[in-house]
Amino acid sequence: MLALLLALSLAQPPNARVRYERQCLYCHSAQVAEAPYLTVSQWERVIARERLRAPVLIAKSDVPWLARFLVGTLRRGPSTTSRVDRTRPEPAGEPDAGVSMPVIPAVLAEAVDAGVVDPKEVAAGAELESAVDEGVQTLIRARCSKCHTLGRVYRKLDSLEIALTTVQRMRLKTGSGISAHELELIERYLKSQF
Amino acid sequence: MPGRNVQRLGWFLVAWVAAVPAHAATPVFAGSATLDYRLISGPNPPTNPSPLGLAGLAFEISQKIVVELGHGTSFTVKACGGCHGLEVDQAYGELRLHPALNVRAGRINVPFGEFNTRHDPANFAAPSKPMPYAMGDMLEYGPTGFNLGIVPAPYVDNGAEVFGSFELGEQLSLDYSVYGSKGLAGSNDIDFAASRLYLDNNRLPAFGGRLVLTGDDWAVGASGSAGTYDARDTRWYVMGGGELYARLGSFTFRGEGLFRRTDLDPSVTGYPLPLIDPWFLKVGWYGEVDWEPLDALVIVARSDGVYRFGAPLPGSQLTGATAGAVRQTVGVLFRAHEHAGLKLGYELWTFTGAPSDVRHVGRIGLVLAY
Repeated sequence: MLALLLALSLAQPPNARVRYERQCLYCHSAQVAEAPYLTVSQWERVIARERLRAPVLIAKSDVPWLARFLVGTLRRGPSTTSRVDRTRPEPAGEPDAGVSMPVIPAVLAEAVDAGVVDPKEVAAGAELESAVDEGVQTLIRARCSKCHTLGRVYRKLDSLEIALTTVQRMRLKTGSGISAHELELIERYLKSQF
Repeated sequence: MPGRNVQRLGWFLVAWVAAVPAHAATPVFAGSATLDYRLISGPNPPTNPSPLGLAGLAFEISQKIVVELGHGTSFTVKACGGCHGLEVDQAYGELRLHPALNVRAGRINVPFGEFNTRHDPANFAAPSKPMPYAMGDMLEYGPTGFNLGIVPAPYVDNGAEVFGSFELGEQLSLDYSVYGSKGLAGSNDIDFAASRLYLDNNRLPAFGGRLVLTGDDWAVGASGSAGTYDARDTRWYVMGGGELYARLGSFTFRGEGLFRRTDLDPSVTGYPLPLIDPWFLKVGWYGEVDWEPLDALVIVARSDGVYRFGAPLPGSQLTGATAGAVRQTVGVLFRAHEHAGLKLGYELWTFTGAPSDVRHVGRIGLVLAY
């Protein structure tokens, strides 16, 4: 199942615009979400703070994606290029055009720039983490939306303890469709997000 | 020997409590409020004894709290208000012992059918409940008409439920639920309002269960229940149903077929037709497609109906032993905000063997949920 999720996620690279609309615009209007003008690392801090309100909606690995999209595509900040970016071939189109490219948090980018971390390993690790997160997020959307709106999921699961017990309780609802293996995947994802 | 068994049970409980990690009590709140208005075509809209029924504006509100006590134990209380004033929709304790064996007891939502698990208006996209689950929100719903749908939604009752899930494969599981409860109540046919009372009206409990086979993006299931509904335990009802769920991309398909066979009281006089069989059969269904082209938009198409076979009740305006109501619905749910949605719908009602012929119903509803 994990392999399938990974394969699906990698076969369909995450679309940055879809992520932005699904995650940032889930709670905010575009006017509010796009009001600040910040650097990538400042956006990462803002998004990281916002994701604490809905950690299931925005994964940790989404933060750099969203920050780059806001600066790179929506021009909500000055564009800068780190050594990590320079080592990577330029994408053929906009980040939201379906091009798969690993996104690396600013802190790691700084470590790469300082020569502490190998940029290729960082990029591969970030891509894998992002793909896994995307797969489990899709799974959560599919299973939870069977019986209720996703707003009730994203806003309720705001602490690890509540998230784990709620998912365990929901999994046992007759016909929930959450298998034991999927529960394991979701629990692993939740533990990595809080 | 009984002493040793009690001792074993004691050790089992101690081991279980020790094995399950403890958590502090962590309440989870949820709630919804729905305000909806329906406009019914025709010069003489059907009258309704309830001021919040089909006559126009209706309001429903609910507030739920779940407290996790740790060791797989939780308590849930949900209160709701609507057409019948304030009610307790859920008030039960739940003990999760093993994926295949768990217990819930108290005032439960009886596991009958798929729709009952998402009966809160914030949890379904259609502008109204499917007709087999209709209560007051149904044309010709009174005792002079079809006398309600087949099973109430929410189906609230005092009882105990044992439930669990078996893994049949990586993507295949079989969920079950069996229960014993107070049962539906009435005198000569079921009365949903009387069924919700806290005190039992007879001595024999009702029993039933639900079985659901679930795959990756599909599920099929069946439900059944039986019991006596009158005060003297002489008249039975037996009901059952099948359910289907499938998701294909942005399309979700749901369908259910339900029936209820209900004994009638042959000693009562005034049946408009000769009472050849002292029972009647009610059959209902719905098939629904939800298309979600955008995260904030759901377009709904649904066909549903209820047919009644058997002698009409005394005083009924149904004109034959076969009477039916069929409805075609198109609707839209627009999620304007994280906590708010707007529902719009149009319904075409057609009738067989009932005084109404064709009715058009327009609906608009505001749903707030958190």
